[in-house]
Amino acid sequence: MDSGIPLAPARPGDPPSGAHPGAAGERTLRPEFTGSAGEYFRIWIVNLFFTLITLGIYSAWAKVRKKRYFYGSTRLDGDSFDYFGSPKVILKGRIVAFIIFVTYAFASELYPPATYAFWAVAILVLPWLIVRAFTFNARNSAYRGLRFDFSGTTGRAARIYIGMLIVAVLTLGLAYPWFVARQKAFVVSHHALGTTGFGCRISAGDYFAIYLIGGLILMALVVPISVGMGFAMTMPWLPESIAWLGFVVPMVLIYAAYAVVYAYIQARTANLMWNGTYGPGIRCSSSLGAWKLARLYIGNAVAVAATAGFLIPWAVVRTLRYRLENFAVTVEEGIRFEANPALERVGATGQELGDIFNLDLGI
Amino acid sequence: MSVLQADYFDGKNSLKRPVSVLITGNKLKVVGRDVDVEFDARGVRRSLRIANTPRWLYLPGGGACVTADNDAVDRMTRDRHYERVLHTWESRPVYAVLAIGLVVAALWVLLYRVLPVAIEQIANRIPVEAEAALGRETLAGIDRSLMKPSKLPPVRQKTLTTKFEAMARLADPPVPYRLEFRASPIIGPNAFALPSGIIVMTDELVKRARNDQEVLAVLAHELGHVHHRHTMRRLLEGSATALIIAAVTGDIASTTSLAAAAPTLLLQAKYSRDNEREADAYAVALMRKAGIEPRHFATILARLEDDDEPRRGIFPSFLLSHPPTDERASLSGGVLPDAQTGETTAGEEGGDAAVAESPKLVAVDPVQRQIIDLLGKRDYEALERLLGGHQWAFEADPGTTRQLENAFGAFRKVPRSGEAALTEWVGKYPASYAALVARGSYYYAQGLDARGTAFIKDTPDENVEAMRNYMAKARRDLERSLKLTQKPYLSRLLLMSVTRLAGGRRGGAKAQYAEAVKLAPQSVELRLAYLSSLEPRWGGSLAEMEAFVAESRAQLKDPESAARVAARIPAYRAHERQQDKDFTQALQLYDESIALYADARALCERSYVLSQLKRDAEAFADVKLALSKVRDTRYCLERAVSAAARSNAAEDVIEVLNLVIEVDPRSHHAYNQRGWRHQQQGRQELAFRDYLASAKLGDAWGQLQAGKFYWAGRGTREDREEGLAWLRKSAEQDNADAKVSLQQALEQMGKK
Repeated sequence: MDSGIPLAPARPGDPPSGAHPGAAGERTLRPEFTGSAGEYFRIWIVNLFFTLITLGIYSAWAKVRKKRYFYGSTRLDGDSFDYFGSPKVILKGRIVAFIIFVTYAFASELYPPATYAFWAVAILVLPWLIVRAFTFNARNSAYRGLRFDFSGTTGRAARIYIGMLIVAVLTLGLAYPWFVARQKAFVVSHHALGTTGFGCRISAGDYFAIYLIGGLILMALVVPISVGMGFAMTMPWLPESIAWLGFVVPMVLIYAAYAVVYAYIQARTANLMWNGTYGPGIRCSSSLGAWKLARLYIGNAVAVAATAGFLIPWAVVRTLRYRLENFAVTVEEGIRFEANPALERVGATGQELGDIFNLDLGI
Repeated sequence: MSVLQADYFDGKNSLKRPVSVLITGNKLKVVGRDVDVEFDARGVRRSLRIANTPRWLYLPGGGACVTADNDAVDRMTRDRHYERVLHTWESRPVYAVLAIGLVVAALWVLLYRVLPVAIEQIANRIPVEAEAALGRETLAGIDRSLMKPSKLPPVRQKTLTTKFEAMARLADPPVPYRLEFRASPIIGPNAFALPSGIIVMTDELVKRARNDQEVLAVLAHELGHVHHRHTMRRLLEGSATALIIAAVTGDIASTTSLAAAAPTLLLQAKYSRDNEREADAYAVALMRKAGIEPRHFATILARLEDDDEPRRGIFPSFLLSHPPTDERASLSGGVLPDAQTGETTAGEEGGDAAVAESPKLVAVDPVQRQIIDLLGKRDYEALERLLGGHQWAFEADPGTTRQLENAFGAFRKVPRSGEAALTEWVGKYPASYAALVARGSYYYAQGLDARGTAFIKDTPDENVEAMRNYMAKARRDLERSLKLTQKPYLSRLLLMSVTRLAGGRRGGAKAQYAEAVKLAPQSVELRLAYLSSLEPRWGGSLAEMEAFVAESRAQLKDPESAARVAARIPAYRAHERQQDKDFTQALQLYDESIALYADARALCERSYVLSQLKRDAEAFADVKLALSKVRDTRYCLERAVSAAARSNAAEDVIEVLNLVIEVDPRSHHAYNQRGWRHQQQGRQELAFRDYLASAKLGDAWGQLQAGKFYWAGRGTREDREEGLAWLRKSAEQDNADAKVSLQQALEQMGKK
């Protein structure tokens, strides 16, 4: 998910300047979003226009402007974040991704067995791509003049993304929550701001509970809807002219049910992850409400669909704002970060491939 | 020197120091409580302005300053043009509104104009063979899950294959295909085109069809999918729309994924429906070529639709991947489909009504009669079939222009009362070539009638005005029809005359001719029409005419056709002489023309010249010959009556007048003349009938005669009242004879 700020690493603070009283010698900081939907809409629509008329070439510049807007509008302890990804590097990544995408699309359609070979290669390359993408994003993000870093290695990523994924598949998905928990812990615990590394403790058991309850909610919602739909479709009491409603209304309801469950899992897992995230002198916390998030998602979907997409910026801003409002970081008095002297540049290809194949890289 | 308030980070740790930034010339100084550093200003990079987010100055050596004072940064540093443009666009609501419009326009152009064309181009460049593996896989896949071996007897399969092959051979360019028979109780009656040209047809379809033509219709449709490379295009469309939608919704993809997927689905459904329409059109064209009536396509679709009923009603049509059947069936009834919407011409009436309608000639040709009859019954479907058939026949064989011209010529004989039906037809079949050409022909004829047969200088202004109006309408219909078929020969032929008479540019005819001659290189009508447009009175010259005649002589294979074209030059020159009243010269030229080819019109014109020279017998002989050839110009008919009046050969005269009255039953002159001849021959009853007909048409002389015949009981029962009534009517029209007769009759009545 691409919510605009580097979620995992970006929660440290500087010496206090008058804040919430926590335990002795601590203070709690809450991020603040200073942008507005209207402002973002203008950036978004101009980005979109130039992207369309340049047949996608501008999209790299658009992406940088968008990220800079969100980073610059997000303040923690009075200071905003900074992003300096290079559009040209991103464009190169996008071109590579585009070529791979087109090759894949053609090969898989014209020569179906090629699909398996492609995915086999993709799965093997995936850990490397993931590490590159996180590294690129982290190193191009900064707070108070210091770059973030991602120190995960391809080997460790392979153990999680290939090894655990195989386990998840072999257990017919029962191990999936465990996989998600490990994967999130891997991502968070390899981020650092300067020399300050982060850690993450996530209990896989809690994740199992969340997915189990999510599954039960889904069944509780979808089963009655499906039964109702079957009923509506077999009974010819609906007038011909609105008969299609018997099909469309249940589809909308089922989608809403999915949104509720999705929001529930998102809210609970994000809370678990952040509440388990720490660093030297740092504790994070998150208090997202599942129901509130679900209403947000459903409202977004309705607004976006009703305005043919023109309310996308509004939806994005209000979702981000809600997430930030429910996030807090507690830091020790006098905490200070030091720069990591050896941060070289990495290419953007990894991250852009992630974008185009819609891998859920941002946790 | 400029000063800026900012926060300074040294890039080594997270300590923030409030500082002032001073810029002097090439020097940038950062000064604060325990900071005092100086940099070369040229080495400092500045972040782009985005809304009012804080601005960064990246200093050499890894430090950075950040400030909220965007305006000051803009003042102090030189920004590049594109930065200013972007910031303006991103900060002003007016530009945002403009950008919305531009985005919508850009999306529309991309999705509806650029993408389909690009995809078609790309698809056509990829050989069908590239799909071989995919085709194999797909067939194997459906064989496993959906299909069983066909139970049709091999003989039956063979018959269908042979028929299909015969039809597919006519496809131009050739389409690679492979016909596969399968049984599928799951899918039911269906056929589909798989990648690489594999066409699978179910036994159920063969059984559901009433005849082989219906089976071929469905196969032709599938062949259309192969021809248009729809598999490849669907693949390309899928990828392209996915990319475009990703560009638009990239932000939100994960939070509301269905909202992002919906437009993709809708777009693909739209493209899919477009594909079906293309395949439909292809099927109709191929069927015509193969001599199969397109209605078979409509009937099988309708039957399959009945089967589909319970399922289809549920889905709104925008979710369907086939166009609704009503629409599709109308395509096969029409000539060729296009998304042209029919505009009604309602509300455009008036204007022309100022000019009285001249009665239409009656069609004697059986085809024309049938067409006029069908129009009277408003049986548009039958009209579509009949005329579509003629157009198809022409497309298959350009030598059939005569039949095509003749069929559509029927609409030149439709009276004004038929205009409503024509307009209704066009409205109901907006994509029909036949309907538009029919109405165009009708308007054209109305225009010619409005002008009348007099020389243009003798024609009243309002008539000329009415003619122009009709010609403009004809032109609109005919121009619209051009897009509806690939071979709009007839539209172009008519447009040549229409544009000329509507006062259009001269180049128009040339362009139309150039296109039309490709469609029908041997058409005489076409060359004659073009030759007319080269006449000096339309801005051409004799030299141009002669050059064109020479060219035509070389190109026309039939010597008679060539002679017919060549004969127009002396005829034209004769016409010019005739206008100058130089009848001797005119006669010589007409002789010359008719010696080349005895054209009906030239004969009638020579007849006029001859009668001017008092050579009545020869004048009559000419019209007699002319009418035996063609009877569709009012000029010739009028000439015939006039020549007949001066002829002494009574029986011949009656014969000619019979011909005239058959096509022009409102010609009171002809009735008068024929009645007179019958009377002279002692056939009083026949004479009376003609006089009565003429009287009823309001002819004063006819009324006089009818009155006399009633009065005297000649050729009819004696009826003095009736006789008096007709005499009175005639007298009211100031007929001197009638006045005298009426007086005498009244005197006689008084005596009794």
